[in-house]
Amino acid sequence: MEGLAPLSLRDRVEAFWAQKRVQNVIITLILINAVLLGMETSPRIMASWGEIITTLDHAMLTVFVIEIVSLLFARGWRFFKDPWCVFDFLVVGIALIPASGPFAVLRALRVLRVLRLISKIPSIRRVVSALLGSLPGMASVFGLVMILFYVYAVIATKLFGESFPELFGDLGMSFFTLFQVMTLEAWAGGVARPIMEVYPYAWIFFVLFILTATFTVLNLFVAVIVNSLNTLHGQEESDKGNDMQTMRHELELMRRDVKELREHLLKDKERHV
Amino acid sequence: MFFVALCPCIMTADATSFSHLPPWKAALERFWGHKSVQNFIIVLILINAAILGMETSPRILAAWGQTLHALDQGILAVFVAEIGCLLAARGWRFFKDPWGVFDFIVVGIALVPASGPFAVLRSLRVLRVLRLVNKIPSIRRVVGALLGAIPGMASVFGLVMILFYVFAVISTKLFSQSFPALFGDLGLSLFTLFQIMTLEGWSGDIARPIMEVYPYSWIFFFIFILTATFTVLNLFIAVIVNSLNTIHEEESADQGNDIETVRKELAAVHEEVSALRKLLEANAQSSR
Repeated sequence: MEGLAPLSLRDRVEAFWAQKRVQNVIITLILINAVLLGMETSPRIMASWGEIITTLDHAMLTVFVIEIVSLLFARGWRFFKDPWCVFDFLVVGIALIPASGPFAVLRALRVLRVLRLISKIPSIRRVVSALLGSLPGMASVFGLVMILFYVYAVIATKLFGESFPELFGDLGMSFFTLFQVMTLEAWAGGVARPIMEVYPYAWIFFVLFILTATFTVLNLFVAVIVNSLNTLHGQEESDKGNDMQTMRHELELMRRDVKELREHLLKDKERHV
Repeated sequence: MFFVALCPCIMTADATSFSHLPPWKAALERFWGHKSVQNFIIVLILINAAILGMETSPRILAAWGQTLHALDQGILAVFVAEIGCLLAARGWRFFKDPWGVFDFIVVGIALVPASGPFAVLRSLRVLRVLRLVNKIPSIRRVVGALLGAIPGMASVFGLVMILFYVFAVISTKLFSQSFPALFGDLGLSLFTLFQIMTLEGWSGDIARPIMEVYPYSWIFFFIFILTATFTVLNLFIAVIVNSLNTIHEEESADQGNDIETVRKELAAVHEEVSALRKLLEANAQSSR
C-alpha cells in the first residue's frame, strides 16, 4: 500500500508549507512586512521606532528565507521549474545581498517582497498568469513595435539630432522621447511645436509616428487583455460543464440512441412481415 | 414592451404579483407602478433638472427666484410622496432593492436642513436628476451591468493596489531626498505615481528632471508606465467587456439562445428518446 508507506522528510516539509493555515500566516506576515517597509520611508517614524522596525523586518525575512530554503530542500532542482518559485527566490534573495556601494539601489528593491502576495492569493495569481500567458502570442506585435521604434529613432536622430540634442541627441534619447510621444505626454507643446519652428515639415514625422506607434501599441495591449479575459472566462465555462465539448458528447450519445431505435424498429417490422 | 420584459422589477403594474398583499398596499403599488404615472414622474425629473440648472444663474434667480423655488418644492413634494407611499407599501423590503435605497438617499438629501457643516448638501440636491437612470429601463440596464461587472474585477483591483504600493515605497526611498516635492513621503509618491499613470506631464515635469540627477531612473518610469497603465487599462476594458457580455447574454437568454438553455434542451431530448426506446422494447416484448 502506497498510502501507508512512511512519508519521507521531503514530503513532510512540502506538506507542512502547503497547509492552508501556514499559508495564511505567511500572507499575514507579508502584509505586516509591507506596512513596515512603508513606515521605513518616513524619517520621523524611523527616528523613534527604527530599532523595532528593523528587528521585525529581519524576523519576517528569516521566516521567508526558511520557507524558501526548506522548499528548495524538499523539491531540489524541481523548485526552479515553477516560475512563481523562481520569482519568490529572487524577490526574497534581494534582501540578502549586502546593499552597499553599487548595490545600494537594492535596499529600495526589498519592497518587491510584497509582490509575493500575487503568488500567494489564488485569484490574483490566476489573473497575472492569464495576462502573462497571453504575452507569448503577442511576440510578433511586440517585434513590430520594436522595429517601428528603431526605425523612427534612427530617422529622428539623423533629422533632429543637431538642432535638438536634448531631445534626439543620440539613439537612447530618441527612444525615450519617442516613448514620451507615444504616451501622448506633451508631444505637441514640448516636442513637435518647437521642432516645427526649425523644420516646418516635421509634422509629417510626428503624425505618422503617433498614428502607427500608438495604434499598434494600443492594439498590443487590448489584444493581450482580451486574450487573457477569454482564457479566464473559458476556464470558468468549462468548470460549469457548459463548453461545446460537453454538448457535443451529449449529442453523440443521443444520435447513437436514435440509431439503435431505428434499427430496432426496422427489425421489428421485418419480423412482422 | 421589450425592455419591460427584460426588467421584471419595472413591471410593478402587473396586478397578479400583488395578490398576496393587503388591498391598500396593492393599490399603492399599482398606482405608482402605472405606466402613465411613471412617465409623469420622468417629466417631473426633467423639469426639476432644468429648474436646478436655472438656479445656478444669479440673473435668472433674481427675476424668477420665487417661482423656481416654489416649483422645486412642489416637485420635491411629489417625489417624497412617491417614496413615502412605496415605503409604506413595501416596509423593509423597500431597502432590499438597491435602486430604492438610491432614490431614498437622493431625495432625502433635499430634506436635510442645509446649513452649517451641511452647506455642501445644497449643491448635492441636483443628484435628484440621477433618478432618471433608475426610471429609464435601458439606461438602468447599462448601469446595472457596469456595476455588476465590478466585483469580478476585485482581484485586478487588488493587483493594482499592490503594484502602486510597491512602486510608491521604491520611489520614496530612491527619490525623496532630491525631490521632496514629488516623492517626499508615501502619500506624495502615491499621488505622483497616479499622475504618471494618467500620463499627465510624466516626462517633462517628472522623469526628465529626475533623470538629470539619477540617469538610470528611466528604467523605473518605463516599467511603471507599462505595468500600471497596462493593468489599469485591463481593469477598465475588462469591466466594459464583461458588462457588454452580461447585457448580451441577458438578451440572448431572454430569447432562449444561451448555451445553458441549449444544453438543457439537449438533455430533455435525450431523455425523451430513451423513454421512447424503453416503450418500444416493452411493446415488442408484450407482442411476442
